Amino acid sequence: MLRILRLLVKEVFYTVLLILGVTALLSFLFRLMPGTISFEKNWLNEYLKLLQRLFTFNFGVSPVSGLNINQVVFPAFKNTFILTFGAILISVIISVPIGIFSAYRSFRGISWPLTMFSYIVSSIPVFFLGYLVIYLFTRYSNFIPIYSATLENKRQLLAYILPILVLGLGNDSVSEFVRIISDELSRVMSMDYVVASKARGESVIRSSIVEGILIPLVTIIFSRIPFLIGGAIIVEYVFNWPGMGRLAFQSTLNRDLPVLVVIAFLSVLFVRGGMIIKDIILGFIIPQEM
Amino acid sequence: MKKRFLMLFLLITFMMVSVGLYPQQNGGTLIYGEYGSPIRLVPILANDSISIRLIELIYGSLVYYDHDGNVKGDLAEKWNVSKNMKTITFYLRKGVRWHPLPGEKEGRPFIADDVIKTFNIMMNPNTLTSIQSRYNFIDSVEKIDDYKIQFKLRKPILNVLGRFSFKILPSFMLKGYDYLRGDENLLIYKHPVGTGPYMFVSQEGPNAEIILKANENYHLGRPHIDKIIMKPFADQNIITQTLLYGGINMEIRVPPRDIAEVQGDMRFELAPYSTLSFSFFGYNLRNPVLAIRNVRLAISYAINRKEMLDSFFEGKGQIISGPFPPGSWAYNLDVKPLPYSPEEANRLLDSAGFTERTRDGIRKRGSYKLEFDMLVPISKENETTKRVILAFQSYLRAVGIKINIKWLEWKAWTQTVFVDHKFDIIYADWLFDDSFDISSLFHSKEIGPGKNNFGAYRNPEVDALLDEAQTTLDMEKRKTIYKRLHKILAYDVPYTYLWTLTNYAAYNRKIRHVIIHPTRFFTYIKDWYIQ
Amino acid sequence: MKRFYFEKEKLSSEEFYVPLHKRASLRDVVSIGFGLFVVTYLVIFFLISITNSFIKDPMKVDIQHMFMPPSIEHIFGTDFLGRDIFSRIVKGTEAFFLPGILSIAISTTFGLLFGVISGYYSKTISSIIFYFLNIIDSIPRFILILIVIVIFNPSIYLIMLFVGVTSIPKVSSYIKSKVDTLKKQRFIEACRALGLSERSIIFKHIIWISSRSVLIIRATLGMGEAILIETSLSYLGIGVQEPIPSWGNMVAMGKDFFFQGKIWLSTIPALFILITIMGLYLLGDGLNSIFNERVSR
Repeated sequence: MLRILRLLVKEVFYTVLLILGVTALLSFLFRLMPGTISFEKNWLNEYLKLLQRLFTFNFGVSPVSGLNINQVVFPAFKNTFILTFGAILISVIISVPIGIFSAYRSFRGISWPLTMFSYIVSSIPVFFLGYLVIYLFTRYSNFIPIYSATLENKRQLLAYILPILVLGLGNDSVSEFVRIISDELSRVMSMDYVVASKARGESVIRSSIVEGILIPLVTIIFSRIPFLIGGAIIVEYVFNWPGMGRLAFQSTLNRDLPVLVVIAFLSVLFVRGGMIIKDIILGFIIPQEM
Repeated sequence: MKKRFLMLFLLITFMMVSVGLYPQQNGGTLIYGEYGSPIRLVPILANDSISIRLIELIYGSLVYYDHDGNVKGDLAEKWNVSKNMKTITFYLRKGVRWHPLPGEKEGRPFIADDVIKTFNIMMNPNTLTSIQSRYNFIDSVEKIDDYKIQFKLRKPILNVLGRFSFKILPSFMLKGYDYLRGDENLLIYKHPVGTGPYMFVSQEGPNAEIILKANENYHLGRPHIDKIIMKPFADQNIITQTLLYGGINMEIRVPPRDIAEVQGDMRFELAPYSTLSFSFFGYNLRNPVLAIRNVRLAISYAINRKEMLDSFFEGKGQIISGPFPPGSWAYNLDVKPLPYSPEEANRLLDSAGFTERTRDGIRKRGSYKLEFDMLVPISKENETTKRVILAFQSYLRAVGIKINIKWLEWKAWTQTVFVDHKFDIIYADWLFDDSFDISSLFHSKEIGPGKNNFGAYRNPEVDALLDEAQTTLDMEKRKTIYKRLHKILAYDVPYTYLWTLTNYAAYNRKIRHVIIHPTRFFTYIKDWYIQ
Repeated sequence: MKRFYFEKEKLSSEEFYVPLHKRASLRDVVSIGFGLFVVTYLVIFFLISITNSFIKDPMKVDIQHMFMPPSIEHIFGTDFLGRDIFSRIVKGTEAFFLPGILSIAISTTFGLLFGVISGYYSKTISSIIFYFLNIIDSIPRFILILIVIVIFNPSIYLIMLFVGVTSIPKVSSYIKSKVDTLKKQRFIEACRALGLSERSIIFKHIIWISSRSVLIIRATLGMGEAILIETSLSYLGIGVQEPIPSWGNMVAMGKDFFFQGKIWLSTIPALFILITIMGLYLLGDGLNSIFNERVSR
């Protein structure tokens, strides 16, 4: 326990340092923007002001678009979080069985088509996949609706399905997960002690699951967060989902740098926070001797 | 026995009469879909059609035109035009209340101060709008008492009453502001408050749906439909599909290629309406090459308008030869649109001296190349706009002119075109009001940052004619003047006039008594009802 | 399980040597073969495109012949302006080819540089370098691209330069771990003991022999990522703009006509994106497998 705590403290400290660095970079980029009125002559002062604003989560009003950033960003962040979380869930649910199947039967080479299929779907550019899905679902039925704010609650829940599905299946996540799980699992399964265990007739499931699946899975889930945010931008655009990605894109069109900086900041928190959580989880999972 | 029959007969008649008297029911929700989002929900500042339609629902004006063309009173109950036609007195309707502010139960009363304030802001040179030129004929406005105001005009104007259809803003929300530029931190930008048939309820974010509800105390009678929701769509293709499966019950403008599909569906009605607008390519005459008339004329000959209209818009529209919608009294039918003739274009360019060619085949004369920057706003980007522009580029390439397309986001585009004037050609449309007053487009005094004569077109004869048209009281004379204007503006080619489109709205047949106003769409909304 | 032992083998139309670090399985063979096929057509298309030979004019508008389905004259049909889609596909490779190469050049060069420095020298230097690299790594790449677009209004080359920069951290960490492994195996000490010059150690042993596989794989995957980013940006309208063809903007413009049944305008470029990226990723995976590396995206 103490070990985990020490790890945690180190992580948090490093993360804070990192965030300071990121915000320094962002504030520097901000300054580069032609046409921004520099409120402070001294960059350091401006940086400290930015830091204060960001860390107190009081982002103020964007001088470019007149939006109250807090009001707009937090609900958007929540929506993107839901999307990302759901997508990860879908990716895991789909890729774990395929990965296990692929590793387990890799000695016979049959599973390969299945892996290939998951690769293909994953690699379809997510903007096309999204549009295809919308086309199929609006053309031939209206059972599953596209997102809109005034749907009755039950229907609105259904509207969540499609974007989550697309972000989870597309965006390369599944192929990556499958590949990692399959590689790790087959590596573990061919390790001596597992083989020996099996020979003795013991259940290989527990140890192989932990080592072969959970660890790489946890690692890769949290490392994929930056990619998911990137993919969310496109998925949210296609599905008109009111999340941070769509907001980021609109801000780009509006040349609204303040909002983008805030979004970047929140994303970094999301990413780094994920890393810390990952290390905590791994700390619990990985057996002591490793 | 007879008595009973009589009773039954009376009863049935009574029922039929009562049903006949009140066919409309109250209730229901109109959900309409637009391609894009409104830019600003405040009159005076708004100049895009989506905003204008919403403003029509929320705000009121002194008078309005009903669909027979008669002037009716909205916020004004009666009025009096003096004998010399230079003074107009409006008697405002009493008991009209503004929509209540969020958190308040009742709205404030509408009084003369609101009209005065609106007018002053509108005419303030610092306000970011170009509609001032329409009202320059008004010299001053005076408050006589809370419900009586008087406008003094510089000179008598034909059909002057119709000009007072500008929307009125609430003065109590604009205390301390003499002009508006759109970036102020005002509640009215986020929560519009008007005197119209519908009240603003909510909008979650800048691109979210807008929910309106019926104004129970609307002074012209409570509208039948309870609630209106405006759904913005980022993708044009989905709107028709959403209509068909019931996600919305009205589509403001059905893309030409979907028309056949909707027409075949018995659940929906297709209503054509002409929006009194025309599309054009506009030239910046500050560019010395574009200042040469033959160059502009050549461009007009080089493009095949019929082909574009037929292929991109399914032929649903009409090619025009001047800056007026055909079928209006201002259009001069004797001026024919230019035919498609690349040969003529080539001849004109040769005669203008652009006989040398660069390595890529672009014409030049000395150091002047026929290469132009064309600026297009991204928010107007839909497939037909893109196709028109790309086709334009291709037609011109065939005669040796190179067009560089620059896509800009809407605000940046407006800034670059109307303020900085850093462009060569644009593709846009103008939306008219009923008076067809084109002086803001072509008069030389409308040249300048923020004004509509973005191309710096100057012709003293046109100026004189425009001035005369504004002041003449004789309708026939006016028509003559406009016909002459049409001829000159066709000859001078400050724009290449393209076409005016017939738009089709589609709606579920359950919505009844739908009459669509050609520019503002929802003017007659209070008569619509849902079965 | 069958294993193929390669020396020289004909696969499809290619003839190549597979560097022997591990026996290649059937899976690897097909992956690499497919990947190389993709690389081949990319290069061919690119060369055709820049020399403007063999194909029709990708910009030629022919309104009378819009929306023609694939035929002998137009292999992939025509688009909404009557332009030949096949020639636009070929021309579309220009949108990402050189920019993509720029991106992988930057990421491999600097990744190598930083990786070697931090692996070779002291721990402090390494920590400092990785601190800065982690800063770049923490911001999701797409968001950083959007910020760059707002500030600099860049050309696709500048964007790809940034994409390359954002890949540096990963490459550096792979290289560093390579160097660490060598260190652990006392390899470097041994070299020094043998009297090899520092320069030779670095260049020959570390870079060429140990790291080249990682670099090749990263380059392959990096090119795939670059293509995905360019097409995504062009799809959104902030990358390569019309009328210049990019597979991304072709998908975007084509999608409007999907509902009318004219699906090939959008589907064909999307298929090309799919096949190209998949091919490059498979190539990377195959190389990963035979070089016994674990380079991921």
